[in-house]
This record gives sequence, C-alpha cells and structure tokens, in this order.
Amino acid sequence: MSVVQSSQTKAPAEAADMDAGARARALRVPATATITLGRLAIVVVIIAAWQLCSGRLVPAYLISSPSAVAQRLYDLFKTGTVWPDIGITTQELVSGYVIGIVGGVVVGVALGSSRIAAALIEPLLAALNSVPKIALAPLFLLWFGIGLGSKIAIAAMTVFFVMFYNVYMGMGTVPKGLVNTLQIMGASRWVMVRQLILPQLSVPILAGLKAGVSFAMIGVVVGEFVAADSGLGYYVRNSTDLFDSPGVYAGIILLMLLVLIGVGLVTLLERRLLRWRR
Amino acid sequence: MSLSRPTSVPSPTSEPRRAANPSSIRIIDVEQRFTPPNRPAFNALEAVGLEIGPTEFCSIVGPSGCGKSTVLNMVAGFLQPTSGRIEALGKTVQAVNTEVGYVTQDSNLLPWLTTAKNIELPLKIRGFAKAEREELVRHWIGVVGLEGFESSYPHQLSGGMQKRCAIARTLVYDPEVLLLDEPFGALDAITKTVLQGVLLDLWESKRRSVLFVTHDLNEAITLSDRVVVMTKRPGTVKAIVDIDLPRPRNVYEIGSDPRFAQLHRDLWSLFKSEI
Repeated sequence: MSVVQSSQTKAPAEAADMDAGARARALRVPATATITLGRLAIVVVIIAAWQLCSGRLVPAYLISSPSAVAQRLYDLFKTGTVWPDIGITTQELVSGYVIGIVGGVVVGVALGSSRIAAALIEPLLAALNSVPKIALAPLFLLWFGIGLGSKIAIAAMTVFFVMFYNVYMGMGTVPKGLVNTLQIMGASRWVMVRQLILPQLSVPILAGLKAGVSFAMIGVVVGEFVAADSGLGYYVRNSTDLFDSPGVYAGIILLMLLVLIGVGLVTLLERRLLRWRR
Repeated sequence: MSLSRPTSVPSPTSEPRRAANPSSIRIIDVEQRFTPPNRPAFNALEAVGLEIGPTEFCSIVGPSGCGKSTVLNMVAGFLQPTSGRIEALGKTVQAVNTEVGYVTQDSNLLPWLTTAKNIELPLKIRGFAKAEREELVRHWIGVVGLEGFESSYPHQLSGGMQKRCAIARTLVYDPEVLLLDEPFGALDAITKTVLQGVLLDLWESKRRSVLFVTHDLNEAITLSDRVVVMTKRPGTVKAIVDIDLPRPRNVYEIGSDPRFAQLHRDLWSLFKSEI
C-alpha cells in the first residue's frame, strides 16, 4: 500500500454513502393521509376501468374482470384448494432465495478478498451469468426432477448472481484504513467479515436481498411453467391452458402478494440494520 | 484488499518485556522501493536507521512524500522493507504487528458502532472478559472526555471527538508501542492543542514508546523527546534533534519558552532545505 492511500480511498466511499443517504431522505415522500387517499383513488379508478372494459371493450376471456377474480380468490380460499399450491411455491421461493443469497454473499466476499481467486473464477461466473436462466430451466428439470428441487435450483441460481455481483463490487468499497485498523487490533478473518465487511456492505446486501425476492420468484415460476404438478405458477399455467382467465389473474395476484410479503420482511430487516445511519 | 491474518495476538495478561529490550523499535538500514504500475520504480526510503527507546516520545518530521508514513506502516507490519530490518520489542516485524497501537489521520472508527462499542472492539478481539471490557471502556471514555457520547455514532461526533474516540480505542488495550500518523492533522488549531495536551498527559502517566509523524514543527517540539528530520524523497534521516525542554510540559504555554523558539529555528533551518 502506498503512504497516502488510506486517506484517499476513504473519502469517495464516505461521500457515496452520504449521497445515498441524502437521496433516500429526499425521495421519501411523507405518507400523509392525502397521499394515501390519492393512491387509493388511483387503484380504485384502475379497478373500475378494468371492470367496465371487461366484456364491453375487451373480451372477458382476455382480461377477466375484478369481480370474477375476486370471486375466484374467495372460492380458492373457501375450499382451501389453493393452500397446497401456496405452500409449495413458498417453499421453493424461500429455499431458492436463501441458498442463492448465502451463496452470493460467500462467493462475493471470497472473490472480493482474493485477487487470484477473482482473476480465476470471476470470468467463468460472468460467462455463466450471460446464459439466460430460462434457457437452463429444462436442463435443471432433467437434473433435479419435476418436484421442488428443479425450481429451487433455478431460483437459487438467479438470486445468486444478483447477490454475488452486489457483494463482489461492494468489496471494492471497504476502506483500506479500516482493514488495517482491525488487523492491528488482531482481528481474525471471521472478525474481519463480521465486524467490517458485512456492515460495510449492508447497503448492497440489502439491495440484493430486496431485488432477490422477485428474482427468486421469477426462477420459481419459470420452473413451474416448464414442468410441475403443483404450485401457484403451475396453477397460472394450467388456468391459461384451460382459458380460465379468472384463475390466471387470481394466481398472478397471489404470486404478487408472496413477493410483497418477502420484500416487506426485507424492509423490516433494513430498518433494523441501517439504524446507525440515522 | 487482502484479509491476511496477523500472526499472533498478545494475550491481555502478557507482561511487558521492556526491561529486556533497551529499544522498543529498531529500524536498521531500511530501504523501501515502490514499483507503481505503469510508472518507473522509485526509492521511497533509503538507509533509514533509527532506534526508539521504551519510554521515548519520538517525532518524525519531513516534507510531504518523504516516506514518514511509510516508516510507520513498516513498523506496523503493513509492508516489508525492500532491504534492511525492523524490530519491535525485540522481534523482527514480519507480519501485521498486533503489539503496536496505530492512530491515523483518518479516525478510522467503524461508522456502525457507537463510541463505547468502537472502544470496546479491540478488547473483544483480544478476548477480554465482558466485565473487564465494560470497566475499561467506562474508564477510557472518562479519560478522553467523551462522557455523555457513549451511544453516539461517529458521524454524530465532531472531528475532535472522533479523534478522542480513536485515541481511547487504541490506548484501551495498552499497546507497548504507539504509532501516530498525523493524528491531529485535520483538526482546527484549538482542538489540536487541547488534544496534544490530552496525549501528553496520557504519555506522562503511561510512558510507552511513541513514534509520531507530523509536518508541524511546533507540534513535534511540544510533544517530543527527540525530533527526527527526514530528507525529501528518497527519504532518509537528515538529523535528529534532542528536545531538551523540561517535563511535564504545558502545551498551552510551552510556545512562549525562549528555548522553544531556538529549537524551532534549528529545526526549521534543517527542514527548509528539504522543501
């Protein structure tokens, strides 16, 4: 390292952090009652327009209608037939997500801390990442079977790359001065990761966690579309084949809700982890 | 960045080995050659020799880029000399030197830890028991005057307070040797003087060896037993000036001592030909 490096490398990283914080504050619109009502009004108008168009301007088998979708959702939960599908999809989503996130963080930190490992492996990962994941879905079905395994694998791989690149690029922002400081204190590799790297990367990791939810769902649904015998994706696909448009929309809404719940949980985590920035 | 693991961490109970070593730090005929990418190699340091006694406060002054900080980085074990040898507490420095404390111009506090947690961190890493950690943290927060800011995060502290925290975090584990690299460089004149006073008081009570890098001649004279003047690049030791001002010193008044003025003139005449 050079003499002046520590003081020079730290400043831009800090400035970037502060910029991000300031931007986040500027973008946060105060959720006053008026705003909430406004948002609600927009949704109501869209749903009303949808209801009015359905069967009049656009054939109902293409866009169904809010009332038909609501009726279908009600029936699905009343009979309880939807629960196994929700269970399967949730299981695939959570498993694939967790595997992808953990893998992405571990490989990102590993390659980010070893120039040799990065030089050897990163180009291979970039090549693998350039393969459209959807194209791999049939292969994964061959390898991992028609059940949960193939969906988990596709979701995990999709999430892995999102997380890996967030962490790998983030490793460049770890200030050399802090690394040196912890080394002088006698920090082991694990202490370095736990006390410096993970907190330093909290923002890119949280971004990866958030984006990862919807990426995991893409992986799961792709898998269920290609071949499955249960799950919400399978339900949507099956309803499409039967020209059952209320079923398609009901399935899509349930998929959306699952992703929203996941993102909501990450947001709770975000508030906890970023307390020190306020 | 690399995550190389330092070789050994002294246990909290390890006894000082000062008596056995007349010098805490020995820098023996050290050369440091840098080969920056796409630029010709150059010697940052040449034939540097220096010994610092076990209770000595020694400052290094020199023009920008003369390799002052490189000397500290080598004593800290962040880089190895191209030739020559560095000994700290009787052992050749070959890896990150966990027996020293290092305070840099950037406070290098962990931004996600509170004042108390930052000061506690080295104790945690070195395996101090929880009760002892809490006791030491409370003590040092008092020593550096940060009472009431225990649960503040670094960005909520002023530059001077961050520096107090960084000093406490380094002294809390009582390192045998203190390396300070322009610790007060970025502070305003008043805060700087106040913290020089804090540092001198601490040194008077602990008497560790201190290697202090600065470009401020007044600061060097105020604090030191000896001031090492370095040449411009390639840096080497140009002269060593004994600061024979009596101790304990008062940082607020020492500047008006006629001897201080004389020392300043002496140092300046050595220094100015190197700019």
